[in-house]
Amino acid sequence: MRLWLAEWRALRSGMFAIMAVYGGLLVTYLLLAPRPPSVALYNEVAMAPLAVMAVGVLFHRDLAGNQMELFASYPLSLAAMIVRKWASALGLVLAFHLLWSRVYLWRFREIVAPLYSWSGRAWAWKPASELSLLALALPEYMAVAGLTLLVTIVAKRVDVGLLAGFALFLLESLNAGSGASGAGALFTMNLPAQALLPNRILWTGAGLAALALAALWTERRTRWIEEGGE
Amino acid sequence: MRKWLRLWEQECGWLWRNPVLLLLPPLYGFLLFLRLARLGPPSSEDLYSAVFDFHGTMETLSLGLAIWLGLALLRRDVLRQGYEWLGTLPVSRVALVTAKYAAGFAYLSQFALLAAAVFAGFAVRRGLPGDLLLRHLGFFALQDEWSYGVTLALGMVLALLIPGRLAYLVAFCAWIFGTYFLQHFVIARYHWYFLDTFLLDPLLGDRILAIEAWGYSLLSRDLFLSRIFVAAFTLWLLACTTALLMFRWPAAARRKAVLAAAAALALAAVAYVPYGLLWQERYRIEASALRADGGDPEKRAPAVQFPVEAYRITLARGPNDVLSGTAELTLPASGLPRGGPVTFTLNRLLTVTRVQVDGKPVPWERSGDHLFLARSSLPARAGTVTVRVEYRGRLFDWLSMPSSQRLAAFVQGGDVYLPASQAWYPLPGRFYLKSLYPGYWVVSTPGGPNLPAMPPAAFRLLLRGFPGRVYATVPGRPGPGRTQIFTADQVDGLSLFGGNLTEVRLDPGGETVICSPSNVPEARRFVAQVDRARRYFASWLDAPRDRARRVIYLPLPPYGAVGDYPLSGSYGLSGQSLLATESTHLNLDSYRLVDVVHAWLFGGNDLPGWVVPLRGLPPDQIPLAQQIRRAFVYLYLRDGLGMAPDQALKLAGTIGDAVRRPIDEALRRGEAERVKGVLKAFYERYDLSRGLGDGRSLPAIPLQEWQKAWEVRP
Repeated sequence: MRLWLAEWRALRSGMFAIMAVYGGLLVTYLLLAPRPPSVALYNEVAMAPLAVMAVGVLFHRDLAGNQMELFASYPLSLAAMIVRKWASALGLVLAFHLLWSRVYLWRFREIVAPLYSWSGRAWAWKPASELSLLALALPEYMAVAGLTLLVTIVAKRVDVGLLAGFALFLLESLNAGSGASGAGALFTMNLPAQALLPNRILWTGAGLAALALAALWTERRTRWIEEGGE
Repeated sequence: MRKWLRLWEQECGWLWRNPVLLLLPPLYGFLLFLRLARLGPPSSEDLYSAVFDFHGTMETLSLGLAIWLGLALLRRDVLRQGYEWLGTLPVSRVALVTAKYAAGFAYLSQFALLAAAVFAGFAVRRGLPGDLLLRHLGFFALQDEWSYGVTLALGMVLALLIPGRLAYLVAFCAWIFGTYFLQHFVIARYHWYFLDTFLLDPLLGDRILAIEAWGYSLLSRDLFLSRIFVAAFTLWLLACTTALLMFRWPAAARRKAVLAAAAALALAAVAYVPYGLLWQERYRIEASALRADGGDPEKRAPAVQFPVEAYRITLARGPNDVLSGTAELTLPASGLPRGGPVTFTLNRLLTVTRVQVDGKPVPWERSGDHLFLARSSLPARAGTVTVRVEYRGRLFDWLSMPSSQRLAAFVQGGDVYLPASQAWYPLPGRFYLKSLYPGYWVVSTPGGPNLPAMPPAAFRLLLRGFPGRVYATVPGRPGPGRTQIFTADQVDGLSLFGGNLTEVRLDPGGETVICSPSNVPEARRFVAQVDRARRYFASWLDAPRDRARRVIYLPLPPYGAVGDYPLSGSYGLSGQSLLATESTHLNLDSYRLVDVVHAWLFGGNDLPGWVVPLRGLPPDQIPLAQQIRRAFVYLYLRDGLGMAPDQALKLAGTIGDAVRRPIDEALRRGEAERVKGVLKAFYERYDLSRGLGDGRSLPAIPLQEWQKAWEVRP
């Protein structure tokens, strides 16, 4: 438990300040918007960079200098550390999700969005609860955070991980117009109707697989002792 | 110089020995290779378009690498605690910064180079003309290099401005903001196109540059001025980097560096001015459209029009793209409206210099897009009246809403787009060329409430002073001097297209496709298919020979504005031409072939002059006449091309069993001639070749008649 709480010390950093500023901008726009903005945009597109930044926030201190070398020599489970940090990163993202959805509800009374049903029918404008929105977006957060994490661990540098995470986000955003991603799209607004459930399962699986791989990789302690991080 | 080269070598050493960094450019080139190798039927084979899309997305991603590189170049040594001794080397700070920049730039240029090589390889294989290829390569390569240059410099400045690993996060946020967010949420939403030059990758989301026919040639001034500003901006960023470095590692020339940075900032500000003035001019053009706007589109008075017998138009292009035109309209006096002024519609950007009726000058009034002549100026007798209007002006009709820049009509150098619906010659009647709905302009298309279809008239057009070949909806020929002449007998209007276009034709009397050079291989296959279909039908059916004989294949909706989404699934029929939209999936495939054949045999569909493919409805909702029309195409697909029944049905559109079964039976027995006889009888009896519109509707053919036709044995 103490180790879990210790992760939150990462919040005292410039990176988290940037994350907070970004989240604050999103909320400010919500407060000032004349009409209810697109929910899908907020729920998925705007939150994805937060997932990337959250992983960066939680890892940048520990991968710096020779910290990891030190950790590698402790009788601690490194894999568990990875899982703890990943979960804390997701927790941060969920906290922001709660924040903006609450503000949205307070400002506009209800959240109405064009949503697919999980059983694959065509989309319809439906009132959505925060939980249903979260269910749609959580696979995406897990996948983006997982990719960022994996690349961070492989490269032993947090900046390369951030680059990979943002590259995935940008690739999916830019392809939205031409529909090149088709059934494999990260954002649900680019998906055909019947592909929703398999697609979300796919991305959740990808996120968990990335986490597992990163954890196993980290556990090979000799990697950290050879040369330091950045 | 030797010292600088040594520095440069040292920087390059790291870049060219890192395995990941070495692998990335070939990967980039390989991705482009895969994308271009996949070009083929059934989707569009527009090479330029595919390369442009790739540059829009993948190059934006590689800019992330560029900004990371800018940071990494400085963070590996200069910003590391143990490397302060570097500051004591006998190398100036300027040399250090420029050597790092040059090394990074050389590395990033690989991406541009490999993309150019792959594009060139495919272009040569597809027969793109060499000089055009060089121009395309120049455009893409220059654009890439400029983007990399400014992004790398931005990365370097951020490394020195922001301490710690936070710089990476800020740099990546700047990357995402400078590309996606700025384009999608700021520029597109608020129409602040003057911020376009701040985009790290201007190719992202620009729809006009994506069109090969006009693209970068039309926006060449934008690109030129933008590049000057970006170069000055990059210089400023590098000057800041040097100055910041001198604060970190104290140097004697510190004050000079700060002054240099300030001077560079002033230079960048001055460099922005011509660019800003360009946009001011554009917004002014749109403001004139706002002033000429006819108010709420829902509440307008209905359009008033009167017939014209003949047009004689001379259009000359002078220096600075100023057009001077003379239009002589021969109208029957009986067709003129009884009371009130006689109104013509002429694009608001063209100013009228003189109006003559039957040779005598008359007073006129101009308001927005309209030209008013007093009724008394026109004789109230029988016979014809000749109205001669002389006008001049620069036609560059720029609009901004809803989300990207659009051009409703333009003449700039060799780039010409003059649709008849934008009144580049006086149209008879009071029409509205554009409508302003909340937040977006809708450009009027003929056949709608704001612009009804023009009655057919004889046209004679003479073009002078246009440098390149201009294509119209009717064929033209070169005239004496360097003029081009177009004559037509009974057409609704003339639309002109000029620019990077070619004409593809296999048979002098056969089908022609007018498209941009990247589409030529696909167009050639298509022309062969249409010619074959025409030969098949011409042997037993008497369809109008010249209808839909030219397909004008451009990535914009028919009569739409350049820059509009090519989402339209309908075609415009004008003169001999079929205006067809080009996009990745709306290309010259079998569905297009069916639509062209259908348009040729039967003319327009519901709206006059429009062909709307009707494939979706279930059989019991489709009138029998429509099913019989589709049966012609079905017959060709099965008999002429030998297709399987399901495939032919999918292409031709749903045909009910009652219509299809006798045809299938007859074909199975090898009695294709009998089917032709039955269909030809219906074609002639109900005059199916006349097309719809003008109040005509599909003839109501009783089912019994169709069934009886099959009982009669020849």
